[in-house]
Amino acid sequence: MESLALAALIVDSEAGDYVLAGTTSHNCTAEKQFRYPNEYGSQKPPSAQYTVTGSGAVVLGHAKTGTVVDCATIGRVMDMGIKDPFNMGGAMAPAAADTLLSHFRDTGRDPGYYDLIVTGDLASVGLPIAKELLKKMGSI
Amino acid sequence: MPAKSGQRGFRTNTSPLSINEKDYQSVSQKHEPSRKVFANCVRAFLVGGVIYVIGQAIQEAFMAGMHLSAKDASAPTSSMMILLSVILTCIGVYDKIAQWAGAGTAVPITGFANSMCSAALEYRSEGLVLGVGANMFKLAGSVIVFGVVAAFVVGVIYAVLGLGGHH
Repeated sequence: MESLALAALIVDSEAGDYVLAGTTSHNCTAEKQFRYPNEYGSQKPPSAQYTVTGSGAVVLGHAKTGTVVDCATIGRVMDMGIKDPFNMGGAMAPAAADTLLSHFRDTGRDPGYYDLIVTGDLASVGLPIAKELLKKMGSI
Repeated sequence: MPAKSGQRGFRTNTSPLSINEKDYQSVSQKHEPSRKVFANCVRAFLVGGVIYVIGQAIQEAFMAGMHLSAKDASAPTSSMMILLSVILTCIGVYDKIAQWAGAGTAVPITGFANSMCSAALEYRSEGLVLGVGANMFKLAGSVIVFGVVAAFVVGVIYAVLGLGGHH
């Protein structure tokens, strides 16, 4: 998302005609980096998430039709002291809620303005938490 | 486009999400799915039992085939169990069994072998000495450390109480 925002800025400032923005992840490196060796036989709790091995990319240009990047709000690190590497949803939910709140405050829009609000991989644990936080803040 | 870009300089620096760590953690905890403790116990009992039955069968085979005593057969039996665990780890099966079995595969000697083998596999890409050599005990090391510490403490208690032991 950050690369998409940067790419949109580059295109908008006419520093580039076409900019390719991409992101990628690999299950094995994520497991090794944050959790245990891949083949280690530990039982993962139900809140554990699976890091996808894959990537996505988008080309941005000056075309007048199609989907456009209208504006972007860069989030911030929200460390709420969740130390469990098997509960990424719980660790990421406050940052997602914070970014959405910043975005609504920044643009003066409310959630009803959007057809669809998509976050990263909050999944079945993180999504209800983010919703509850937004409800608490009176946003939805 | 921001609605009032002229006012951006007046933005306060406080986070729009006002919740402290303690409150958040109670929210987060509420949403955390609970573990199936009873089912895990049953599975661990079954799988752990099966592993010990396999071990017993191997020991009996050593005793019958090579005419060893039960005590002499225990060392090659442990080696065979370690070998089986390492093979299952290398072909990527052990962690899948462990996800189902939980403590059933972690407690026997096969779990210890798996923790060393998986670390060795993972760090092979970083070299033999600084990779495999340095990281092989990454998971198993704590077992060794606390095993030695516990043995020392028990030894001191025995010596102080004059209970003796082997001389």
